[in-house]
Amino acid sequence: MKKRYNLFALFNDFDEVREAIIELKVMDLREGGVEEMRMKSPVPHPELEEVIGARPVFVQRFSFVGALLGAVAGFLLTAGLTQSMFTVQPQGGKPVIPIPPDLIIMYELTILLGVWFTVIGFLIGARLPRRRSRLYSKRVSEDQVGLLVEVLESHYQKVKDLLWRHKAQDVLEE
Amino acid sequence: MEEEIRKDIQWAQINRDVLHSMASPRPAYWALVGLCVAVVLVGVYAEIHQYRFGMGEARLNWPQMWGLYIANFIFWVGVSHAGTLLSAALFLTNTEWRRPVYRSAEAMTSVALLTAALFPVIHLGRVWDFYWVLPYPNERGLWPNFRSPLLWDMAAIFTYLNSSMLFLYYGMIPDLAIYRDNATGWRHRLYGWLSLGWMGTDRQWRNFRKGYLLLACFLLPLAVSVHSIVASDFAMSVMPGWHVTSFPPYFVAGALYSGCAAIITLFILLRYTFRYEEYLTLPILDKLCKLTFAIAMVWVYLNLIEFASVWYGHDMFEKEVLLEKAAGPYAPAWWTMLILGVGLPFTLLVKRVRRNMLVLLGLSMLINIIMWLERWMIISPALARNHEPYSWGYHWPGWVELSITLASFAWFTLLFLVFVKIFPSLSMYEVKEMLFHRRHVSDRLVREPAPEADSATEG
Repeated sequence: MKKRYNLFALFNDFDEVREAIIELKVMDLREGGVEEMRMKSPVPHPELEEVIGARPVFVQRFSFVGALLGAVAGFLLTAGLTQSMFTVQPQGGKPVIPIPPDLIIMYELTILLGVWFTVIGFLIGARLPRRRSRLYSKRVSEDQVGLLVEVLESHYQKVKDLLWRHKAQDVLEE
Repeated sequence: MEEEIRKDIQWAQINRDVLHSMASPRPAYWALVGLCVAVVLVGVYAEIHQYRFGMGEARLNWPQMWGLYIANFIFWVGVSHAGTLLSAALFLTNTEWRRPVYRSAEAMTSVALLTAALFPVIHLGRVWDFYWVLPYPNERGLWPNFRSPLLWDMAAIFTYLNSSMLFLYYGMIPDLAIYRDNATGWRHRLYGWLSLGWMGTDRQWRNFRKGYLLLACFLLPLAVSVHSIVASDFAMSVMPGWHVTSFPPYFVAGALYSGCAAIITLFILLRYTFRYEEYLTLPILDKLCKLTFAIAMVWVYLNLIEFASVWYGHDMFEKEVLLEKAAGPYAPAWWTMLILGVGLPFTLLVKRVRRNMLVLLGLSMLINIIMWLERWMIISPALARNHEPYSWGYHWPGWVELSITLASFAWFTLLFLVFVKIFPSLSMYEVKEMLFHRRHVSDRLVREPAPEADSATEG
């Protein structure tokens, strides 16, 4: 198995990162060597995420499943269990399963489980919680943008030089 | 046009300013905490007194069984309303000036809900039997009645409290990571745990953005449903004065009105206390005031609708309650509420008022007192005049109810004070994003000047 290195460069702004990413992509197309790239930034940058190669997000599927489960749970809680108490609770001529009031509980549970599943979906999608990587700097949470590059041993020095050439403030390695 | 926020603020400066607000408190902070704890203890004493001698000590007796406790409950649910609702609505409409304001507004929501949740329990009297109302099957056959709006209310409040706190925490994760990166010792470990190992990777931001959007979509209808359901506690009954179709939107508008006023109060206090002048700016406050005015006018309109439908509905019992409000023993409180509630927002049209912090602080607090009075005027005058004369009776709060009411304000203040010292009261990453967008847009405008007005006719 080929040996891999992780290089983590810190830049002053997104434009410098964009230039570095584009050059790394070109290098990878020509001769390979760059395994993966990831950006760490103080604010989101959707355009740059596209440049780096955005992977699809599945949080909305979790929300949908959560909302659906919530609606079903709401119905089971109100209609199902109320019906099971049929012999205990006098209905006074009213329907055993009263749909309009049950809809309100279903609505609330739809939202409750929808919200919880959205958060769970985010945690799974973002791979959180996790231990903080060593290749991280507190300057990322302040005002600098980090670029993490996984590179083959053969291209290690070349990529490192490229990052410095694009005005990296610091390059950490692992 | 005035800028909402200066474009040249350094990002590192934002971190320093906000983290400074979480530094060790000054003596004035502890004095305020001490005062709040003292007032809360007075409320606890009143509650214990009520346990010992019964609900009669709170002057709650037939027909006035709801009194101030339920008025306080509606008031605090109302205050909670604006935070999450405005945050979610302004997020979905991509309103930039929301960014520096929303964190404190969302915190206000959670804190106000925690205050509101106390009142149904206090109102029960026998707090140890509270679990009887929980919907679980049991051997006694006390299965809760799902046809009752009181149970809908419980489901709605529980969902709202749960979702609002999750929404607040979710939005704070990147900021908690900033605090982690700047803290040492146990604080570093605690905030490391709270921030879940957030590192701001592109994968994390992508999922975060999508999740936040979805949460906002869930929270917006939820917030509206919560106060509509609180209104159903009244409107679903056959009580004259409560059985009004327009009650749900009326409650929502009233809640937003008082909530916006509370956001203005907190805005000014945070701006002054933490020196947030660069972020909580006058143009943003100006917009908040205009929004409050617009919402207040909706509330005014719904008041008129209520009066008109009662008057032209020709239901003698409904009319009797309205006349009782206007000319009975509650008239001074009702007219004060109505005149000031309608009149005060008009002062927000004056620019000098919108720019005067001291006047605005007083005004926003006064609006909330008026809205508290409005809640009381929904409950007691209606209960005073039921269908039959044998169930007529007035309610004037005594020291027990008033102490517990005052304690709820102290409890709210205490929780908020604790919040601003433990969590960032201003969203650092959102303010940075706001600045980033502004710089980006202005750079683009410089690079690509707008076409001349007559260029379309050229050629």
